[in-house]
Amino acid sequence: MYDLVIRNGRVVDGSGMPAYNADIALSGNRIAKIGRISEKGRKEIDAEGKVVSPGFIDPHTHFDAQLLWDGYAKPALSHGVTTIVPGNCSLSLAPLRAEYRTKLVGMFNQIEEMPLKAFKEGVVWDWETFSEYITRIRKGLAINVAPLVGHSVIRLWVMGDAAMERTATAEEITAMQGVLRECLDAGAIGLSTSYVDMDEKLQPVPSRYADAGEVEALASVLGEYGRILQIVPEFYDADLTIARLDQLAEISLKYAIPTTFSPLFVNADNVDAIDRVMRRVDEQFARGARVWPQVQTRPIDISFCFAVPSLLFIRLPGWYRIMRFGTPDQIVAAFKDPATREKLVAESAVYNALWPNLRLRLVQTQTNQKYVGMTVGEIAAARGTTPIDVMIDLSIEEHLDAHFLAADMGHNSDERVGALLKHPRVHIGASDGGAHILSFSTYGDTGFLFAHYVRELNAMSIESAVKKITSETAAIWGIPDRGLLQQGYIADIVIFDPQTINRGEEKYVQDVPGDGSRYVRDAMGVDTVIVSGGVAWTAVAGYNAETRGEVLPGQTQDARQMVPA
Amino acid sequence: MSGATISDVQIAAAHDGDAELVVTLAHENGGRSLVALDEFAVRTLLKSCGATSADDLIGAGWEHVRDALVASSSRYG
Repeated sequence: MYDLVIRNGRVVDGSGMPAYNADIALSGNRIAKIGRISEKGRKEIDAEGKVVSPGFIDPHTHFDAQLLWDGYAKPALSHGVTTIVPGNCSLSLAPLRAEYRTKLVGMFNQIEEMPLKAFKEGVVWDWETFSEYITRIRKGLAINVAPLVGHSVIRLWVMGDAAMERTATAEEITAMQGVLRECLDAGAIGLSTSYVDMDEKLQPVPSRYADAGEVEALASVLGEYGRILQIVPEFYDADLTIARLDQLAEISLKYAIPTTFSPLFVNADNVDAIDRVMRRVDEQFARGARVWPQVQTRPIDISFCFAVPSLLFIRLPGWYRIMRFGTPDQIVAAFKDPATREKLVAESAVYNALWPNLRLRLVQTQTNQKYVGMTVGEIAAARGTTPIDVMIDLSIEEHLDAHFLAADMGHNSDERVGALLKHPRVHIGASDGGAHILSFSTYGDTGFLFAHYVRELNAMSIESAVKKITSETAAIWGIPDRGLLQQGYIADIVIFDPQTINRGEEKYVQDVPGDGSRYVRDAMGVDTVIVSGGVAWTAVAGYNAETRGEVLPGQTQDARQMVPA
Repeated sequence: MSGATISDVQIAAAHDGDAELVVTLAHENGGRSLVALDEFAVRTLLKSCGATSADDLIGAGWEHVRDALVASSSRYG
């Protein structure tokens, strides 16, 4: 008897091949059989009308801290994500000496907007080495974790304060190579580094003080293990991005390792630049290098409130001047003054197409909580006023603590982004899951991929979309035995309705340690999520208390399972 | 770089979801490049160009952009 049989599903197996109808039987944590299965299972799931696919792999997250209090990485798991890669952008939580905990928390706060209070109240600091951190997160782990180790923290471990001041000596580089080997032996899937990020004092993060020789020395260690290098290049400039990907290509060729860089956005003003970057990516792949650009599926959102000058208003000098030079009391007074208000409203008319589509994200008063989540246009209709008056009135009522979201502000060309997402040398990722938790929701990018680019636009087939976020990701990252529905593979499986899978509306929840809050999106159309053969989440029952998440690719003794990317 | 001027300005999203300004520099040889500016750098740029709005920056020389970036990055030195 099998442990679990999934019957009558439409199997999209992750290979990109056409879907087919079949049952899938699981024994333990592996797929035992795919076909017409007559034997019974101890548990059975009817997937009639549903797609059965490999679990999705999210290669760019910052769940490092959340995993310490939430082994499910909620709500990522409920969206069908069965494997996450934390530790991106040069930042991981290990290895880390006790005296640098405050420093690293500051960097996470600055770069990834993780609240300081969550670290203070949600984290018991009982590790220093990478191995100890892995042991720590294994407790109660419901989602698979393929952790990167951050270049910045390796530098801090070896160099101390000098990591934030200078290049490394030959002896220090040798020491960093040794630390990296220890991390890879303990289960790190690769190394991350950054060329753009700033710390809590707006100084460059430690990895940015490294010279090319240091990066290459660390890449040589990755070569010993065949593991990946992730970088954040100067993504806002095409020439610098191309220079970095050329550097990555040389490293990839010399040490035979995969590399990936993120993000790569399509904005109205950089269409030509994206074409140039992708041409160079194609050229480097033609040389045999592996330089995978990561592209996110969701459009870019920008948040603001009137207490802080936002460049969103830079084309409205009257507004920008008030936001820039006014104290909160002066700004509120300006909004209340009839003559000033009349001028502001008149000036704002050039964006009258934008204002109704803004969404109210956050207010402080109970009275206005009922509007949170609604568009400004909807609130205007409810109040019998205009959208711009809604923004002004709410800001007065909330003493400027009314936060708005300008969604869809970039990376929103269906044609251009769709073409990128299905490009054979583009890696779908860059969700930033677990980060920026008070600016926007980083969950549901996979649901958005299926809802928008597969179902609504027909820009790619469901088989191609599944392949992109399962077997292709597993191959790029060297994650063994996952990403395909094949006999003998680990049973990470998602069952979803192809007609309804989507990301839910963004909502504000208070579930972060230290009474913290964040923006999340619920899953829509996802029925069941299976991790390592165990049901981890269902739409009916929610998260399962039995947890089977693993750390991938695991310790060095498991290296025989490694598959080359 | 001599003679390069701002030919376009666009609002874009920074890494943290805030808005930033991306200016396009048009070079004498026909080339174009993009430079991202944070709020402090934009404020410095507006002041040095005597501009009150982003659109007023069009036509300004690249030296203003350079100086604004230097001013922004040297705040914490």
